[in-house]
Amino acid sequence: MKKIKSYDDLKKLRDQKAAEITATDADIRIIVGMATCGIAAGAGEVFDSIAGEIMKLGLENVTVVRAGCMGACHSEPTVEVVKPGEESVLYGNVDSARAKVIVNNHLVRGDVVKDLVLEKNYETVS
Amino acid sequence: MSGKIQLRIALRNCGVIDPENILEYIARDGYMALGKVVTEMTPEETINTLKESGLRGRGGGGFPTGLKLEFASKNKSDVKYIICNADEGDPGAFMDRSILEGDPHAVLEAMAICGYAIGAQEGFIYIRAEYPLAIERLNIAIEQAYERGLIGKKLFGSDFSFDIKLKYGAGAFVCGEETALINSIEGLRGEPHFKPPYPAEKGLWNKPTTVNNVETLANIPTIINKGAKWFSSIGTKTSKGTKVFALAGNVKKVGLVEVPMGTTLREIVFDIGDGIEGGKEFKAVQTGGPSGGCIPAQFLDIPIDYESLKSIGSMMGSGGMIIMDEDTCMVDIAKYYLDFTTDESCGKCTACRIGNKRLFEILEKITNGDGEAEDLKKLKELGDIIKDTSLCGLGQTAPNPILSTMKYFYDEYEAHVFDKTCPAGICSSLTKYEIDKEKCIGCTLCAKACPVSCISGKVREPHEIEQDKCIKCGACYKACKFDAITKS
Repeated sequence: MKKIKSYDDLKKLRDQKAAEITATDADIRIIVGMATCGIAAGAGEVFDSIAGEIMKLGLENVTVVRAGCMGACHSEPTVEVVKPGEESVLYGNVDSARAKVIVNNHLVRGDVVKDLVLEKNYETVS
Repeated sequence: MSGKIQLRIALRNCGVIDPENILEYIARDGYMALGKVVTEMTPEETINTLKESGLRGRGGGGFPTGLKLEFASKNKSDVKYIICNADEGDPGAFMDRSILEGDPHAVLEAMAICGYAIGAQEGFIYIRAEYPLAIERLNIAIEQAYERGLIGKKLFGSDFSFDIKLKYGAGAFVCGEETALINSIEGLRGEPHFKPPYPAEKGLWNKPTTVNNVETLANIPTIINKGAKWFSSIGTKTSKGTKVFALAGNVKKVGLVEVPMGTTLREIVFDIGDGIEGGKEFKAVQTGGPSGGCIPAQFLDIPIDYESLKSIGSMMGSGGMIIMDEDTCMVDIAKYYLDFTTDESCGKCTACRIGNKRLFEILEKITNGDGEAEDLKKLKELGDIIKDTSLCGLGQTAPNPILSTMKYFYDEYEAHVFDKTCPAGICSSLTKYEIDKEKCIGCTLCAKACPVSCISGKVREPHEIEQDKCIKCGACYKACKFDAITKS
């Protein structure tokens, strides 16, 4: 692995990776909140279910991410769908079955699963 | 819900990036702040930026972070240390765990920045062993940062090197106090010692040391990247930036929230938290954990910052926020926290070891219905003495839950002592269950539910509770479908 030897090295790597994850291309990111609390609420099963469904459907350009806590303890497990050019959608109270519905409806057909949507009531500094 | 009240700075990457992949952190400007300070700024400039930002310690005390670093930087020594205090122990608090699990690199980067600022070459993260996932993710993060050369020797081609190691705490609450924490890292008993000397002068192995809390550190990279002015434009006059709170208790939407300083309690409880569960009335909010106090409804509109919370007898603390509804007994709450602090007192100083035990005993006496007028005077007097004479922060703040509830809910203490009743119906010794003969239809459900068989009566005839035998468990009260059982 290439070591970062200068500030410029880091800047270059940052620009390259930022382009990869900010979904300027057709990539979709599905983020599963997997801190201790999320995992205790069943986020592990949700992650497996989403990953399995994506494999089954043969969807490309979808990255499933294990992230930390999104803060919505009242509605764990939580899943966020980030599609390029669209406002991201936060889902709560997701279980294995609902995860499959999200993949099929939101990812494949582009229909947001309204019943499970949580209001994203925060702004994040970039 | 009115707009977006939450602003996430410390939590900026939590739930956004994969914490086990350093590239995702780098993609979101990770390690850019470290690169900037090491290659473009002097240690003095770094410290001045943090001083100008107005960042204050998020672990409880609220001491200005830049100033703390400046003290350690001015003490000359070839060896200095940075410590990250990840010994989060307040009941109901999980801000630091969430940051470590969701964005471990932010903490590593900030530690290296602090190391550069004071001239330290090594950092320790003191983390509770009860946080296995946070430990696992930190270990992965440290390994990846070393592989990339972002911590370790000669960072960014400069002469600055910085190593980070983990040290595990065994779960003693007092080890969150910095001098006790340092003792624990050194392999000694986790007991605090008198300050001065402060860690900035004689810290870990008697070398100048800066101890910072996880959330404080998580703010630092963003301050460096966006500038002191940007940070100090957020918040109140004395408290800049945001604060993370762990919202818990009788509120509809429990969770982790980060709001600008100066947000009101009402906004947190009713807008973000969506109000009280089950349509009940808001009674109080407990902030600051076992060191803090209970804030009644009259202060819901106070803008939260270090000073305002202190002025009403509570404190910012690390960010636990427990919402209580009308069914909460404030004397019982005070007793709960005293039970915690007496358990966690290290026993070194008399005021804390024995004083808090006596406070707890008096509270027990009152909640058992044996309280006397004299006890209320004693609670206040002894509480004030313990605050003044304890060695460390644990003892100095332990009486706060009692003193603040006595200040705002004195009528509840009086009810327990003089009327021998618990208005909220929580203290079982003071609670009495009775059957309303008019309403009882003799369905026998209560008799079946009673674990000590003290309810008698024939089928379809009013039943009766034998008061001498009743253990006040409330099983009958819950079982009755006709509201025939009263609690008083």
